Amino acid sequence: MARQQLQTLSEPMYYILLSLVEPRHGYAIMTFIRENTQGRVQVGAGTLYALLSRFENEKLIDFIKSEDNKKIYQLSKDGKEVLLKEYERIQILVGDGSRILGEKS
Amino acid sequence: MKWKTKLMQMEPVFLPNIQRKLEAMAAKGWMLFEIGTYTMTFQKVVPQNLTFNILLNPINQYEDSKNGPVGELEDLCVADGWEFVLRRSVYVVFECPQKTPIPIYSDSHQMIEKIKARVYRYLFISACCGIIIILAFSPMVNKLDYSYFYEPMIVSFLLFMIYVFFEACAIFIPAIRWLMLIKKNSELAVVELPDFMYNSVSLIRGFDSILSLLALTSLTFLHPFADVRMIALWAALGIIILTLVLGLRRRDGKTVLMISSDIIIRSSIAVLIFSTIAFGGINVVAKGVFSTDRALRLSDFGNTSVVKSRYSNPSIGLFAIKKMDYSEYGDSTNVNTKIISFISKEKRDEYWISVINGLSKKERILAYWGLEGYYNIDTTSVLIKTASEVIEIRTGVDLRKPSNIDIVKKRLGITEIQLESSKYE
Repeated sequence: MARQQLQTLSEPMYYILLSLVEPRHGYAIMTFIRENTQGRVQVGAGTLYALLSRFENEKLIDFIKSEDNKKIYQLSKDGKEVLLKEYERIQILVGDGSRILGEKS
Repeated sequence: MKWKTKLMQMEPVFLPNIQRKLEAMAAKGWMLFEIGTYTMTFQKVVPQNLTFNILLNPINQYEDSKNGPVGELEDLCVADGWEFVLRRSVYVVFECPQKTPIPIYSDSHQMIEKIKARVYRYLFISACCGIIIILAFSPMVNKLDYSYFYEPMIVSFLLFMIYVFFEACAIFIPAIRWLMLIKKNSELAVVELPDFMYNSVSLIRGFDSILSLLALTSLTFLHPFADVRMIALWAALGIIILTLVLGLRRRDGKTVLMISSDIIIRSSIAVLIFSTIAFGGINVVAKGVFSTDRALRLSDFGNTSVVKSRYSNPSIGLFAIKKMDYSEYGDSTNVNTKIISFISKEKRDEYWISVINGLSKKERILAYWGLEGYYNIDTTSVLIKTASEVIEIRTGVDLRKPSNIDIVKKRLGITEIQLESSKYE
């Protein structure tokens, strides 16, 4: 059921998974999201932590190691699959949008 | 340094209201300094426009964690621009001087999930407490002699009933909010409830806590011994279980002990109740006034006929044995009565057998009085004669006054008092 809910990712979820293509800890994830979205997407520490915990339970990310009280995670095989599916879904959305809106304009 | 204490509690379903209230206080120059069980203390500072966020972080909060962030999550909050204020239990308060910082829970859904988990835990503990209270009260209610309700008992029962009423009121408002939270479309529940609802809950909870303490004290000390021991036993067991459940947490494979004011309060109550048991649980307020006859009535003695010869004549009660010794000297008769209490029926039976077998046994005497020739020897005692026994009741009031006689009649549930010296026939 939880896995089904993850079939459509929210923006914070998408960017968190995207940031974990490379191993990162919490603060690095927040910085990554802020820099890559020019501050458009903001993920609070509480939300980030809750989502990381959920992704870990769903085995979408793997715990790599702990350094200076910071847990480092990386995308798992399942996580990559979910992220790619979401990427393709967004591309379809963008494509449909471009086609329909392009025809009208 | 100026301080201000306000009746405010950490209530998970009212976190947005609490945050707003803390912001209003900071704007007036009162910075949160301490969070108690029922109150929050503020320190006078320069007025500041701050944004407060409360993090629900059930990590190992009993480490050296009162004065700074613990763990990666709290470090992350600090790194994100939030300043650690303080911690109470699982609630970690952060403030930020920015007007629009990134909220700790930027997605309110995560916050709601945390609140739900917290409320479920609270409901589980409340249900356990409720069962313990019912178990504690059922033996007392079943055995209660309602014809002999005296003032301290009425007071304690009234306190308890008022406590139950207000507790129900205090649960009602958060319960509505909780029902909103468990709806599928829980985002709607983020809409804050009016502050007066939170204020009302805080006020009722504070008032209720005072009532509960008074009720507990009165139940512990004002009740006759036969009931108090059962209540005290159950209550003490309940408190110990609760302390263990709340006090011992397993985290990262090791057990840690809760070090907080709560454990001290609970342990103190447990010690208080155990002390009461150790002292026999005798009504300390009305001690020596109505305790002896109360003991007689509560212990529900069996009918054993009075014999007119020297005779050790025990009769048996639930947790007590009444032993009357008679001796006759010509026309005069001497009667000595003892009430001996026991902590269990098994102990009582053991003693009973030892009496029957004529074995000597160490006795714990609760009451002792004697009659000489069945005559009243003072003006405060009432002699009651039934088909099976003779009981002298020391009332502690002067029975030469008709008003006192009426009171005693009412309390003892008897219609006639014979004050004149009379011979038992």
